[in-house]
Amino acid sequence: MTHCPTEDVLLDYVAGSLNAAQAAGFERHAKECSRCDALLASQAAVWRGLDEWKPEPVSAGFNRELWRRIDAEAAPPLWSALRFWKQLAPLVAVLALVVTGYMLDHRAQQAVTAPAAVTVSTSEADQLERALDDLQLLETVDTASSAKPASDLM
Amino acid sequence: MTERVQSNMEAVAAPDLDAQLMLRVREGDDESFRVLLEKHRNPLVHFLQRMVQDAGASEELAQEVFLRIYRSRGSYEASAKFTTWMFRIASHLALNWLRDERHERAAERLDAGRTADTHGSELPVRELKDSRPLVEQDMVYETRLQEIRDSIASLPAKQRAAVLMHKYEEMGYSQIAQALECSESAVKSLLFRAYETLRARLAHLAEGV
Repeated sequence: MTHCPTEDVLLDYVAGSLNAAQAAGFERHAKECSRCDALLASQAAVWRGLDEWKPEPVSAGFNRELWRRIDAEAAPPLWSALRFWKQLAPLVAVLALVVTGYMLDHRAQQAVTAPAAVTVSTSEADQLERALDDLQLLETVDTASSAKPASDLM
Repeated sequence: MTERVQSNMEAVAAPDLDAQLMLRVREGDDESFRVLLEKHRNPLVHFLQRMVQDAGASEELAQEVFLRIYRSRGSYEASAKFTTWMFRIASHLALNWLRDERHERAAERLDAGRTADTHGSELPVRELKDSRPLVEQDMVYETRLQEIRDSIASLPAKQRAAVLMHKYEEMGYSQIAQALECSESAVKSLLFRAYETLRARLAHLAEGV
């Protein structure tokens, strides 16, 4: 009796994937070897049993549903628009920083120049007040000179 | 998952018609994708039906496989058989689904246990599949079929995938190895153990012959 073949030979024999010479060799061996003969019978029974298991038919709408999903993916969805903006986020952040920096700087400059403006307006008020005082003084002098007696004028 | 399209797969010497169709899909020819879909839809759905044993889930998974193939069309390279690539994606999705399903079932069992605890000694309600009267022959057939389904379902997921590809898709050890991303010897080992379990569980089928 020849040596027992490896198990893949048994599987291939039952699956029908051995060539004619290999298959004949295995059959000869199985006739002489009760162990391999029993293995062959049980493996063949499993094979036939699995053959009985027929699958369910595929749903009629399978292709339609698949193409619907493919078309849905092809259309630019909202999240892809968000993804576009997400890509721009660093640039937007930098721009926001630049604008904020500019605004802060501009305000600081305004804060520095504002007291000067106040000073100018204060000096203008002083000047105005002084001018009014001068006018009042002139009026007082004028009134006093016109009120002097005639003898004084002579 | 982004499929790295067959970068590490062996080159195919013989021209693969499916691969040629897929190359046309890459160029924007949707009609070629329709041809691939028509050709491989049934084998793929049937593989997944036997794998997950849930008709709705198997179609959902098959759709996901085709979607991934379509999405990957731009980076496709015909460096291996199209079917190997397709079953690789399918196996990956099915194994993940089975893993998640196992967790869900475990959680359901836990919930059922808690419910039973709170409601005294209530037993979980068993679903009655079909109450139509069957003739004896049909009953025998159904019983046999259920045994076969249960035997396959009892196998570890990777062994199950290997057996289904070997038996129903007539894939060789090398192709199964590529689909399951393991060595050829590992595939043989998976198959030997799986068939050994099936022979033990289904021994009575041989006796009836």
